[in-house]
Amino acid sequence: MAEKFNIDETDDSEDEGLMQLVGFGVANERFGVDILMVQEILRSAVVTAVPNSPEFVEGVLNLRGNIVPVIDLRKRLNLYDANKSQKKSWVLILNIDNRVVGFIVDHVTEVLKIEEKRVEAAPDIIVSGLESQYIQGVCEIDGSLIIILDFDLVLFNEEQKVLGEMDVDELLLSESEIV
Amino acid sequence: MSEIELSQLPDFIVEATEHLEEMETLLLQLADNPNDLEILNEIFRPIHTIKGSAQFIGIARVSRLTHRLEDLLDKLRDGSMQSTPVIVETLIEGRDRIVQLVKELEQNQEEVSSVDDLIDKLTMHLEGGDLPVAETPSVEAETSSLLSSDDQSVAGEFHEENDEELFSIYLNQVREQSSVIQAAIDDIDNAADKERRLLNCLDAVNKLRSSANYMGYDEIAEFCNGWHDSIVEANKAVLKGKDIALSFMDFYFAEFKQFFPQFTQTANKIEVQQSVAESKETVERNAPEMQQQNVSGSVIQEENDEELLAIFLNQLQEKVSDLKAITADLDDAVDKEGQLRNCISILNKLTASANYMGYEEIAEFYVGWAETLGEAAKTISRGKDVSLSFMDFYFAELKQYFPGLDLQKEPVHETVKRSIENEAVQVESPVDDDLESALSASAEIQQDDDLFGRLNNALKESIHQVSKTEYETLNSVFDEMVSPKKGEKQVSEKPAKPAKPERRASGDRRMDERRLFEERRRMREGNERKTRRSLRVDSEKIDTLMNQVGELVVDRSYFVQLLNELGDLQQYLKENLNLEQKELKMIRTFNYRLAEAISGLGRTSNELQEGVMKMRMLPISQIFNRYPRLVHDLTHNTDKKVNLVVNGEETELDKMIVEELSDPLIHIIRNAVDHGIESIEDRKLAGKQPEATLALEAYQESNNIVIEVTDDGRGIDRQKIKNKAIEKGLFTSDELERMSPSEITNIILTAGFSTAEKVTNTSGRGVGMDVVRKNIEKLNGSLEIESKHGAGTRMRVKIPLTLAIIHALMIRTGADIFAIPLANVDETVRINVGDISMIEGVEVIYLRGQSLPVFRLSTLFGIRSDKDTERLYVVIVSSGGQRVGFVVDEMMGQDEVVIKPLVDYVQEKSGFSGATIIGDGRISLILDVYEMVRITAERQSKKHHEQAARLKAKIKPKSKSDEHTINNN
Repeated sequence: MAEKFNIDETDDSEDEGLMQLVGFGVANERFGVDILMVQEILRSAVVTAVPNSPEFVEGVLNLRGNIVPVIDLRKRLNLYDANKSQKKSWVLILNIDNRVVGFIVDHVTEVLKIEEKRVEAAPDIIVSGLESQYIQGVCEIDGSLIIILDFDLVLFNEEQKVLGEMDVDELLLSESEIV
Repeated sequence: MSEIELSQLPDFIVEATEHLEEMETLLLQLADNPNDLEILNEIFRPIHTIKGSAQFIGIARVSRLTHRLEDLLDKLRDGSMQSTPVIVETLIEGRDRIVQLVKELEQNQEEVSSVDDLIDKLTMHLEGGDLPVAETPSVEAETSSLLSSDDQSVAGEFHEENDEELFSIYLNQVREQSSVIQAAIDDIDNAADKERRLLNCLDAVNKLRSSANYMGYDEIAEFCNGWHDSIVEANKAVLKGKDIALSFMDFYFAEFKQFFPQFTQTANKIEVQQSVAESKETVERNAPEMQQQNVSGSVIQEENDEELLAIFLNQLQEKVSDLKAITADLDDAVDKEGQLRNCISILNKLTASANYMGYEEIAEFYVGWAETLGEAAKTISRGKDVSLSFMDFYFAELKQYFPGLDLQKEPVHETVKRSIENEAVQVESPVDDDLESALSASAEIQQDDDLFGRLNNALKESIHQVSKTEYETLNSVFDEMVSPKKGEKQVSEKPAKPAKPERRASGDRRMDERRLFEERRRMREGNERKTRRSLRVDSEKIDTLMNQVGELVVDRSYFVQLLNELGDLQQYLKENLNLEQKELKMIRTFNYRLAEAISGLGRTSNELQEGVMKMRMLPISQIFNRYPRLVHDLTHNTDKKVNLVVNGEETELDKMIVEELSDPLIHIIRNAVDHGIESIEDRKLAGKQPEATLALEAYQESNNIVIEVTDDGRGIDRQKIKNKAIEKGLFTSDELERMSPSEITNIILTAGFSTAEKVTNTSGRGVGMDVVRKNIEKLNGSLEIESKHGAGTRMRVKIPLTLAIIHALMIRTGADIFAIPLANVDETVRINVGDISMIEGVEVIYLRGQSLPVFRLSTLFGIRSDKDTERLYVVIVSSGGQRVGFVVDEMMGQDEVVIKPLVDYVQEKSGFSGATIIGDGRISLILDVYEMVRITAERQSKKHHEQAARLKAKIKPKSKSDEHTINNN
């Protein structure tokens, strides 16, 4: 534990204010996710569909003996895509607060190093129909906008969607209590 | 202690823990069969192993204690000593102390608890047999346990002014000297060597005084001064040949204890109960002829502090038990007058102590009793026969003074002990003419495994009756047992041994339930010993291994893919390059061999995967085995008798869950014994069997493991809960009015809620059930309480089996393979499409004259199935009294599958309870038959509104419904 803590500290001091993102694309948007959350990236995984499950759940996959839910990020984020014909997709396995979840994305690009201060809060306007609540921040790189997703919320809100009736405030409260 | 080989310590702890667990089971067996040589040998082994390793790595106290335990066991094994309940108790105590020491070693890398008291006790057993020392142990143990358990609190209190190390040395010394004093004053009035004992005390007190001086505890030092003087005084008197009562030592000792906070706690109610209970235990072990001090001589405390009261009660209990013993024998005693005189002298002593305590009314009562007895004695001396049943009335009246007094227990205990001794003699006596009848009599008794319990109950029942006829029956029973003894008195060596064949011979006779259970248990323990030959592996390593095996399975499926590609390549070559058959054959052969190799690899990796998964599974007996001891301990000092029945202990659960379940179950069992089960008295009044039954059962119910703890005790009084809830302001009476009975029952799960009028030493504080609930919820389980006031309570703990293995029927629909838990499958049939008819939009088949709705899994799951074939497979399942058939494409056979949970948002309302990984690494979903039947029922009834209904079902929140089960069940 202590050891890990130290490593984190040195990391911080070395590349001050730098964060590493794994870039990926869904529909026509570019996204980024903190590299520390990415457990692995799979190409062409066998996903078993679960009948009667929520629409955005693509199914489950066998990750070395662990059964991991797979979520179609496109459906999850209600992203409109003009050219829907997809070749092979990628599965991004993320570790979100010790919950391992797979997300189907169109393609995974490169690892981006950006300065933290360049990350701006999400603009009020909604990008491609993407609700701003899922956006942790945006960052401009080479003229295009990278959206940094807040996967805690993506996952959490999707549970919330299922939980439906529950009060959002109440949930937020309980979530913060847990953390 | 610094020389402990620390590097070896973790291994020692793990090893010792395992051996100690084994010992516990064995010791409990020994308690039932005190002289079973086999068990003794079995017990010797773990002790010896522990001793060996303890010596090796330099753990001094454990090795000393185990050494002494070995000595004792040696004597028991070679027959030069008889094992008695007292000795067994000491052995159990010894084991517990080792457990304690091991725990300390684990936490502090050193031994903290002293073992001297136990070693003394063992030595006493070794030197003097068990009779004369019988009393010492419990009090001493109490002392030491009080000291040891509270060392820390004391340390905390004195921490500011005194160096901790010094203080611990001091405490050790106090403990040591206390036990010296205890040993010396024990039964001092009776001892021949009063002088020497007094000098021992003097010595000890001096030491205490000087150390108190050194520590600067003036008050203690002063007190020791006074004590010292009193002893000197007493010693003078003894030297002059005067016979003085030395019981004042007890009072000094008691007061001395009060100097320590842990002793002061005795003022607390619980502790008093504990000490009274302890005293009871002492009394139990006392030899009846034990004489007692006259209290009137001593003058110390004016107020009746609790400690004094405890001593008084202790004495009372003792005396009354003596009286009882005498009374019980009175009717056939030869020297009735003498016995009565004995009673009178006991009563005189009681009078004196009552006077001392200032209980005039009681003293008067004693005097009246003694007078009546004197009268009776006179009548008898004139040669007349007198009915002595008046004794019972006095006892009854006495009990009114002391409601907590257990009048039945002790004398019965004595008689039972005696009867067993007699029996022993009787079995051994080969010369007697009556031998045969004696043997058969004993065989009959021996037939029951729980000889003790049965005799105990029988005797209690008989003694309880006032009528003389009952006495006569009892006496005749005694006569039957005692008669062969009259012939000669031979030293019996191993009474249990010769009795054993007898028991076997009677094996084909009626076996009562208890014995059956006993045998099952033994069998189980036999198995256990086998599984003990185990390898200890860090569970993390297994997890890693499991993941790697999983990867292997994935890799294999990659090979399968390559094989398919090779097939494509072969096709391509054939079509596009126009290769000749000869050339193609090479590729074909290679293809074939590769396929063979891959399937071999698949088989192996499959088995490997399954094997690794099974490694994590443990039978629930791992924790169930701890509970006989728990129940034994809980009922040990109470007037309750509990028969623990364990079922389904072979049910397998993931190791982690098994461990997590242990504590909640302890709470539940404790509650059942402490609150649920009534005392023997109350049970008899309620018309129940005096021995309560506590059933512990584990079984699998669809995708849950259910553990039930059922008692036939007094059940939950809902009115009492209501009253208490209002009293505590938890609910208003209006709210309670609206609640269902089960909701009211569930109030007991609220934190801080307890209906117990008084807090006992194990429970009643209102923590517990809420913690139990929390722990079980943590495992995604639920707790249900069913209770009928007066009839008993059942606690149902339901735990999802996450990793549990179930038998399942593997079926295929379309491209997907599903698993249906075999427990839910009634049968499978093959039908023709034409057999299906439609009734109100639902497909139905007729099976043996009954209509049965069938559903196509493909439709239910919205997947494409095989092209309509003529013949269809139907799996008929049942759940909750409903039967439905599922139409599937193919039966794949039966398999053992490991259930893995699905994330709740995936699983919720999907009709699946989990998933499993099948041979090729693919995922197969496991049907939740209960949910599926519910879904189909929904479809059946609301065929038209199907969409709406499902939509609604989807919206229904998961966590809400969970809460529902917890609160409303």
